[in-house]
Amino acid sequence: MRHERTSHDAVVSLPEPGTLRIGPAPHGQGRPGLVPITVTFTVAAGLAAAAGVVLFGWHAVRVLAISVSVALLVESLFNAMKGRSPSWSESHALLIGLLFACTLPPTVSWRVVVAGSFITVIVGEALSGGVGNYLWHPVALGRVAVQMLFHRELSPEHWPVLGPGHLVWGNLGRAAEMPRPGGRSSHPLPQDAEAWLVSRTDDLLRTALPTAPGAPADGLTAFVRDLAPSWWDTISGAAGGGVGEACVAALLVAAGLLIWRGFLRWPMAATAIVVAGAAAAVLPARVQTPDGMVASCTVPGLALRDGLPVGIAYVLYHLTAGGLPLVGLLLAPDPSSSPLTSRGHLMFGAIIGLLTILLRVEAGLPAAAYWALLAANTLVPTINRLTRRRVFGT
Amino acid sequence: MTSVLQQVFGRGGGFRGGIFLPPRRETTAGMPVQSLPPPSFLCVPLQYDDGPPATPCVEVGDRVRGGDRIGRADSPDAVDVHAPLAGRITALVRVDSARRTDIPAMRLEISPDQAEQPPTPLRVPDDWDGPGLDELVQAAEAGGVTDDRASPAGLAALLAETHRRGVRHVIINALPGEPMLTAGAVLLDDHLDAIVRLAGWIGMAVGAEHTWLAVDRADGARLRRCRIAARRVPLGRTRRTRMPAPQETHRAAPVAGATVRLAPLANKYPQHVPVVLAASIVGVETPPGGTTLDVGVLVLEARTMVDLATALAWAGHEPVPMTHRVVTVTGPAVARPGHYRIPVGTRFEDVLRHVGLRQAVRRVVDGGPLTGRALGHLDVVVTKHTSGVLALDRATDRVPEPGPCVRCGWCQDDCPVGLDPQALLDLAERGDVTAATAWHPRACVECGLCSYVCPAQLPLAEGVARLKRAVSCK
Ligand code: SF4
Ligand code: SF4
Repeated sequence: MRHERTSHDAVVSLPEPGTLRIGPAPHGQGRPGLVPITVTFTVAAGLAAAAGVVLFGWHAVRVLAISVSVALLVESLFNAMKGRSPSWSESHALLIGLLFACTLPPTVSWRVVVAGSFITVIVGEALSGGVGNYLWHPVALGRVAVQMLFHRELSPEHWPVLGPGHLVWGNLGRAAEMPRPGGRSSHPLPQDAEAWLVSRTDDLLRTALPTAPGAPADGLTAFVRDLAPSWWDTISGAAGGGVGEACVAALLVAAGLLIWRGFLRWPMAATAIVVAGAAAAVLPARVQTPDGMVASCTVPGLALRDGLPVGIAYVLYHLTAGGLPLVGLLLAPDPSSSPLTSRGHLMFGAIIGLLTILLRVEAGLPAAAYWALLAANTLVPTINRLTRRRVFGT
Repeated sequence: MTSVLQQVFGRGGGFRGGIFLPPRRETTAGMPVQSLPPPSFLCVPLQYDDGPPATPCVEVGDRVRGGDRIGRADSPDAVDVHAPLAGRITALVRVDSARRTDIPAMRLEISPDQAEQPPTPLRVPDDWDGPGLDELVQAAEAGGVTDDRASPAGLAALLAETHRRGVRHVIINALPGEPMLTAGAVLLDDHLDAIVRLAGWIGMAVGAEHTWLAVDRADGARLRRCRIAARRVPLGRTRRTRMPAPQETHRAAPVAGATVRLAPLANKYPQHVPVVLAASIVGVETPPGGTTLDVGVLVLEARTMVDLATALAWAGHEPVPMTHRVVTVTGPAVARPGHYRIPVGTRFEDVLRHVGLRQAVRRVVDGGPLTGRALGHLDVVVTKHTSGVLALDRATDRVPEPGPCVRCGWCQDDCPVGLDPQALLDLAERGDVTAATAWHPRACVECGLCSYVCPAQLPLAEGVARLKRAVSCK
């Protein structure tokens, strides 16, 4: 007996034999897939780049456009040469182009952008075997390469950033030097200028701290009081920097997006930042004394002057300055060049944080965060070996 | 946030690895169990997944009543087979189940005048001291009771083996398990008392020191009900899931049977797998290729308790063999999803015809979304191990587009037993079984999590399972 058909029995008939799809589990369950990962990272990088456009105007647009188009062009040429049909990795070139532009100062000449973008895509990605195979993050590789090739151009005395009232539409070329001390808060922008020339914070931190009349801690005080931009400036990006490096707030939002989508397991970024902070607090800061000698201020993080925690301010500048936020929040989480397991991620983040500060303070190296990321990438196979999980019952 | 911390610092939720699946509202949650009207015929399989077939003990042409034995277990690994409904044996045929193709079965034409028999309510009398080991084994044997996840699957053989080898812990698994499969929870709600008492009796019979009921600690209402059912569990100690110190064991049992303690666990997938349960409750690691019995732990499904209780005889209760299976039938294409009590041997076609379709079906799955098997045709029959029937429509059935591995490490990070599925898939594709042995593929519990998390959508779990079988055969 067939069971009776009830009135609300479905109208759809059973599938014909041979129309059913077979295939391994999971069945009908959402997994992110590779394209959403690339898209999310691209959106995150786009946020940083957009902040750069606001801060640096058409100079930033120029850098971004050149970098992205070179990356896309080089990638498709490479694919054509290899006879591969470009698939989703095309959008990966977009991501890499964006990220590379984010690391550059907005005023850099087009030659640097073209060369760097080319190196990033060809050497960093294509020749290293592409996604999943490269050892070094292509963007860090490209950035370090142009730093060595065009050292002078990438380390100017002053970095311009658009002044208030001239955001997005202003011209970086019409810049006025920021008066010292006091900075922007106490001086309005001169009549005919549209941008400030500021000393970049990580340059300040790299070079010896300024002359101090008394104890080494006075050097820190002088730095925090007279030289360093305000805390709000470094977070919002008004302190200048690379196109995507400058605005820490945008980077934090981008990282939030990655964490929310599950592509950044936050302990990695957290350890990078915590370890960097600890290292900055502990490693001696070099301070010039009036007689021209370089003294070191031990445990600068604890320095107190007239009841002001200048040491903490100094540590915070380290964390928000230069490439560290960009590296820690957007570059390090790249799935391919980071370790496999969560514990590996912790070690990786710690290495990046520690090396960045070491290279800045001890070696005075420009683009320290990118060097640190490269070094950490190099250690990834070792980290993977150290953190390989033990199989149950073995 | 918690999950990430646990991911990093190890045994969060009881074990390292695993993930908290995104919360979802199940369509079938809490729905009562309904009967499936008898189809016109059944093909009752004589064999379960790995065991040998039972020998037919009726002739073609014979009339049988519901519950009559039609297949006799000759070897210890086989189980008895019973006719789910009254009818006439018309042929010996071969059918496919989801896990195995071409198994012997008996075609049973169902008598048209068959009255639908409602399942007997289980009300274990309070004054019953409970069965001993012999009674349990006998009931399991005569009722052909099996357990989904245990090995051997036949409960009688399993209990005898457990008794012979001795165990310290018995764990009854009442965790939700895979998403979408909610039948276990409904059975738990309906038969909680019977489950807890059976658990105690089994613990007593096999001489275990501790008997645990593993429940989801996030499900407050159910946890409370379980706590009331297992009254002897002292309040306030229930969050302890590790092995208790001797003085903590309470034996103030008002009735016979071992004290059943609650083990409230995080419902981190795949917490419900026996190997993982043994690890998070007792803290022992099952060696690759072994079962939890090797480390002195017997893990049984809560729903097996229901089948065993039904197969037991007590005052006012006739033993009923295991002939039906409560199955979650769900999925976006199903018009009337729910929990159906389905006679073993019903074809999927008949099941789907009864529940109705509201969308064209693209994929029919036996089991859950993470570990189930997609079926190529609908002549596959429901067995004693079918836990779910999913029908997916075009919109929900995502065809994987395997990409290159991006070495994100999620598969390795999330594997509950610490395997490296990506390396194993490589070896499986190269067919390098010798090299694979060193990577212990036999430790895989086939939870399907690696395939689930892989952003490159690689068929990792399938590859590891293939290697596992190859290494086991070697
Ligand atoms: S299916 Fe096997 S290899 Fe994959 S996560 Fe589960 S236990 Fe690990
Ligand atoms: S989860 Fe997939 S993409 Fe990630 S490492 Fe494993 S196999 Fe590769």
